[in-house]
Amino acid sequence: MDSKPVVELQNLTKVIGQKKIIDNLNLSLYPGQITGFLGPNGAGKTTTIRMMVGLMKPTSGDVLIEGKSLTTDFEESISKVGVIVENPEMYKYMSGYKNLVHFARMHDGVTKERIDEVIAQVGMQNRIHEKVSTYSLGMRQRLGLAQALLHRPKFLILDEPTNGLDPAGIREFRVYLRSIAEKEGVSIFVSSHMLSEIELMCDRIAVIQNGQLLNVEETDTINETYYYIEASPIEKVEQLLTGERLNNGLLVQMNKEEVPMMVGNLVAEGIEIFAIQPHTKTLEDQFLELTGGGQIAESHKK
Amino acid sequence: MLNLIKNEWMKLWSKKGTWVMVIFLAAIIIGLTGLAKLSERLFDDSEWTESLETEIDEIETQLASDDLTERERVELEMQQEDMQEMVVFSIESNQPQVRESVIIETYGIMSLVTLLTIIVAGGIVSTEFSQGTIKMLLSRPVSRWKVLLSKYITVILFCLLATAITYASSVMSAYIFYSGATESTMLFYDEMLNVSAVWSKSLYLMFLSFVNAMIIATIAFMLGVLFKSTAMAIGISIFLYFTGGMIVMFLAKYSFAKFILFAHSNLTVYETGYSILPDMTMPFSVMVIIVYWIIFLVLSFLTFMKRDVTA
Ligand SMILES: Nc1ncnc2c1ncn2[C@@H]1O[C@H](COP(=O)(O)OP(=O)(O)O)[C@@H](O)[C@H]1O
Ligand SMILES: [Mg+2]
Repeated sequence: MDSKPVVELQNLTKVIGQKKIIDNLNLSLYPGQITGFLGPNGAGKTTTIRMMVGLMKPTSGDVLIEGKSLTTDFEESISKVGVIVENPEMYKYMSGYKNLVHFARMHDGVTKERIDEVIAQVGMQNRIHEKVSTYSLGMRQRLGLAQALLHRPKFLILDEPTNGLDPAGIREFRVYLRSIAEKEGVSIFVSSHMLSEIELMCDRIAVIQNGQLLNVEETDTINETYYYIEASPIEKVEQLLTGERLNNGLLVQMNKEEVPMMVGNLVAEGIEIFAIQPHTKTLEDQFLELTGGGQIAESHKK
Repeated sequence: MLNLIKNEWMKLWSKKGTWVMVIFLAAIIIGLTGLAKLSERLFDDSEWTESLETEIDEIETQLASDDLTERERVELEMQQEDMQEMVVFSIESNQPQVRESVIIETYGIMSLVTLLTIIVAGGIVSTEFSQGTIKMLLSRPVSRWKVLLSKYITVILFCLLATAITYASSVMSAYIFYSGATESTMLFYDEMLNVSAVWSKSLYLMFLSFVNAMIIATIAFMLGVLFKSTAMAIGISIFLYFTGGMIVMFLAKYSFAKFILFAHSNLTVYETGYSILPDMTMPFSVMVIIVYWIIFLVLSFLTFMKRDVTA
């Protein structure tokens, strides 16, 4: 990565009671990039995000935003962050507009014109003066996004943002995120437990499980090539090639160029080959592999 | 800071309940003053005074006759004396209330203001938690202590406004329903008060009651921060407000009773002379109040600043 990271998580750890909810997280986020934060329910995504915006204090470690520590330089560093933690909770008894005025007053230099601009951006012009209690979940999400964008943050954090959006809404949202990342060079961090969503939306994916960061990968390097080989006797194949069993055959990672040679070797050994197919191991397979089936994180025993 | 206070003020008045409370406050004050005027006409005591006076006259004629034993004479004289005291009382109580006495007794309605301020103070922090808006409020470039301070200042402003409304409605209804005093002095508890001193005296009593309302509201504010529960904050504070005096009386025989807040929170006792504990002085009471006030605020701010927000 050539540019400097906007955000760095350094050895971020959170212990509640006896339980390590977040375990020594290290992660850097870069301008113009959308990073996915993927993990099953209870993995610690929300807890990490709460620590990134000062709602919870880390047990140890720190969060740096443009090099400024969140613990020692709170006001300065958080002023560059826009965030929606879980569902955006607004003051229901006020209009959407008053809610935005309320949050705008908490930042420096958000003008009335800026508020109107953001309202137009999220397409809320028609209903903005109605009470939030009359809004649908989708409209609340838009309003939530509006309040997060008011002060032109360099870093946007969204915690499971597509909850409650319909497929068309999710698609629109995705396009919108992409445009603010590219046009304004905003670094975006999106958490989700739904991989299909993250896969489409993000440049990079960080996978978290039981409070530990498992790996960080660029989405375009994720798809390595695998071949599915069905042959007999399969035990003999296993001696020659390293791979994993899948149904009646074996799943082996190799490049296209290696295939003819592998076939030659198998034939020379007198093995009968029934099928050789390229197998794209999807992100889903990898995710399930990494998270051990993607089951809900071990429940916290008290 | 001004922006934060504007925000809190906007949120406070966006709730229907706040308007209802304040309108109810003004209506009840004007209504009750008017009702008191009406009932004055219904319960006319002047006949009682007249019958007492005729009885005194009868005793007078009996005393005038000569065929009385010394013993009977003494008895009659004592009876006459009692009667005369009763006449004075009946005339006193039958005096039509004057505008000035209504104004000076306005501070008695301040318990309503205390209740309303408790409701506002108990909810101003805890509703942010129960509605989940606290996370939107605290992930901003504003330190937590500033957020909490703006909320506390808003409670003070609300209490001031409610106090002003109370005073204004009371004065207004005093002018509508009552006529001014004809004499230059009036009785206020055990002392004679110059009628011209009514304004300063009534405002001073209002100020002392305002202090009382604010210290109780500060308890509600603190409980709202500590428990994040509006119901608990309001419930406990109202309970303490009504039973505080009784608790002190109950514990009066112990020496620590004089350090209980509720032995001092009502400073108007130094004007009316109805102190719960004997031998208390204004400076001592003020000291005790200040110490409690500081403790309540320090506890509130420390808790609020250190808490992990998971709502
Ligand atoms: N205040 C808390 N006290 C104890 N455990 C908690 C607390 N908050 C969260 N946890 C636990 O931390 C883990 C991570 O939760 P969370 O960050 O909400 O996960 P996610 O957002 O990835 O679904 C869960 O196992 C949850 O039970
Ligand atoms: Mg979550």
